[in-house]
Amino acid sequence: MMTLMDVRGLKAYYRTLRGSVRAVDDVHLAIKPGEVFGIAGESGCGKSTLAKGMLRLLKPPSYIAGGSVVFDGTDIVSLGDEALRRLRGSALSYIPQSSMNALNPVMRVRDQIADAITAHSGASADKARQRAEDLLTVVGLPRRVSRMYPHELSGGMKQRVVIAIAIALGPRLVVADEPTTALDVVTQRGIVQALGDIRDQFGTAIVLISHDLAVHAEIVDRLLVMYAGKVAEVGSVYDLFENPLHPYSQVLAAAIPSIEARREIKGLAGQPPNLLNPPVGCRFAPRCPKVMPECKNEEPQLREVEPGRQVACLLYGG
Amino acid sequence: MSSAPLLEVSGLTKTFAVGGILDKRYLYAVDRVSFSIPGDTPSITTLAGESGSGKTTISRLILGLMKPSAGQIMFEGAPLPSIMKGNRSAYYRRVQAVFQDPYQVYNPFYPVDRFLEMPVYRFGLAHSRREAQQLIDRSLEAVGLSSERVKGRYPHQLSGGEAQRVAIARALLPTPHLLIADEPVSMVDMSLRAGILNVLLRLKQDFGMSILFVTHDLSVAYYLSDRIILLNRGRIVEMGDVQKVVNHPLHPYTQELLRSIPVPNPRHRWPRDVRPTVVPESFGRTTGCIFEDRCPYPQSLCSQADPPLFEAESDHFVACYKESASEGFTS
Repeated sequence: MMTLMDVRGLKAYYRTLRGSVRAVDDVHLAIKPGEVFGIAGESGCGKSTLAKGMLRLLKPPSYIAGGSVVFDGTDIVSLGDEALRRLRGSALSYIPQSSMNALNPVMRVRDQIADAITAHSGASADKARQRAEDLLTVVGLPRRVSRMYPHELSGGMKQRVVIAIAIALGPRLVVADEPTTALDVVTQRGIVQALGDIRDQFGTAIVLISHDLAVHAEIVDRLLVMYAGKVAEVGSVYDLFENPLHPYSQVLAAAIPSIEARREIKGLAGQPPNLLNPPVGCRFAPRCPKVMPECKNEEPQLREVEPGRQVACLLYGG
Repeated sequence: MSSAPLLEVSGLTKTFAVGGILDKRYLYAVDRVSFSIPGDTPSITTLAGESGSGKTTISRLILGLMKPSAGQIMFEGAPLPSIMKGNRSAYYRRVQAVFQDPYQVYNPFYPVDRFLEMPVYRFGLAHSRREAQQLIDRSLEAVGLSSERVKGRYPHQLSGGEAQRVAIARALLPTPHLLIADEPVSMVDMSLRAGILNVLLRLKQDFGMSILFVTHDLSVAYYLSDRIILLNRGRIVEMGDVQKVVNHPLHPYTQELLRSIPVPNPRHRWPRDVRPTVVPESFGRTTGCIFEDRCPYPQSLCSQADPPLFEAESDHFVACYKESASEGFTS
């Protein structure tokens, strides 16, 4: 199977006075062209750091401590700055968390979209504005929005503008970090479906980062579950919801209430480990309902248990 | 039934003035809201709505943290202003609250013991230190925590889930008749959230406590509550037995909301052909139905007068003219 982005052994750490916080520690994943790939996990598990690390957008005190990110044959981690800038302009795109609040308040919507286009493509200002209007219709906004200022727009409309900017240069991969957090459910649905439309229409691969498993269930093809800076499990969205293998994925699947059926939900005690000094062995072991003696000594490796399905757990020979 | 309702809210309205001297307008955060919580059996009632629907304002009005612009709140048969004038602390023995951010309620400089002891001494709940500690231990046990795990610790040493449980344990100390829980799990991680929701269920079942739960998350509301009150722009849209409202929503707004909730089942995805409409937020009070601009069944009356709540079936109320047979509507 072809791979668009191959992340191997990526380590992204935060430098602190007391040592390095291992926020993303030896993460492996592969994104295929045109798929919607979900990254799930609880707060502090390293989702956002992973997203930034994949695009080499980490700023001090965070840094890439090892590993490679190969996009279409090029290793982003070792790429020169100018080549990286060109790649970001043409093929890679990033929608940061709460970026809808980062729109320039004194600039018309179309000019903000056109800005991205002229900065990277050398198109004329007129052409870029024309393209900006077309992009608004792609993300489901009326053309008249192009002449408006951000304060005239609702949260959902602003987020659509941000998506229009993200796809302005026809990227092959868009990484969206919590694009629907703080939006109402009806608006959330609109945004998630707009991302799906972009994939369907242009074949753009989308990495969706969200703590909300129900949102993943609505849109992603494959899902990665992270715990304490490590990959716990990767597989198709059906595998993860219908037959989760890693005990942590099982806990998550049993913890979400659903409007479809009223069934008992169960949680978990304890809290994730301190990543300044993570425990030896499996990082989930202190909370794991299926913990075995060897889990406290031996660190499980991510293993392929079935085609397209990887788990890091000693229960599966990890 | 002879017993007075635990809580009865009628015509509750809260306005906020916005704008300057020249363009002063009023935002109706809560607009003529009426509902009650029965006094004879413990129940969980949810105030649900999206941001800006007025749900938190209602809970703050009930807690006496702000004064209503109009309308009345009766608690156990007595109007709130007179309760507050008399004995404020007696009211807070009967009504307690937990809030969204579990860390914000703690003083970070003291161990959590102090946080738990304060209500015991303030309300005079114990006659000795020993009795006080026993009371606290029992309360911690009720929320699924051991006192060894909690006592002597500082707030930052607790996880979000633990911090919220300790806050609930403190609210339980005066054995209130009503617990107001305002978004208590929205900042708590998924794996810990279920535990807290189950604690709330247990408080109702085992301790006979009634809960007014405030949330934007209808999946959580459905899991937890007996009755649900759905708000939009300060008004009640639909209200009643949670099974009836969720399984047979009558208001087109409720229907759209329920269709848009993500479901943790990849085989039941949102239909791709029906899309929610992009609507800019409106402002101020509108005459007529709040959903009129988006409604698939608009009638001329809808824009002329606010639809009152009609009882469509037993314990299922909806603010929609199409449910009022007497008006001669067909949908």
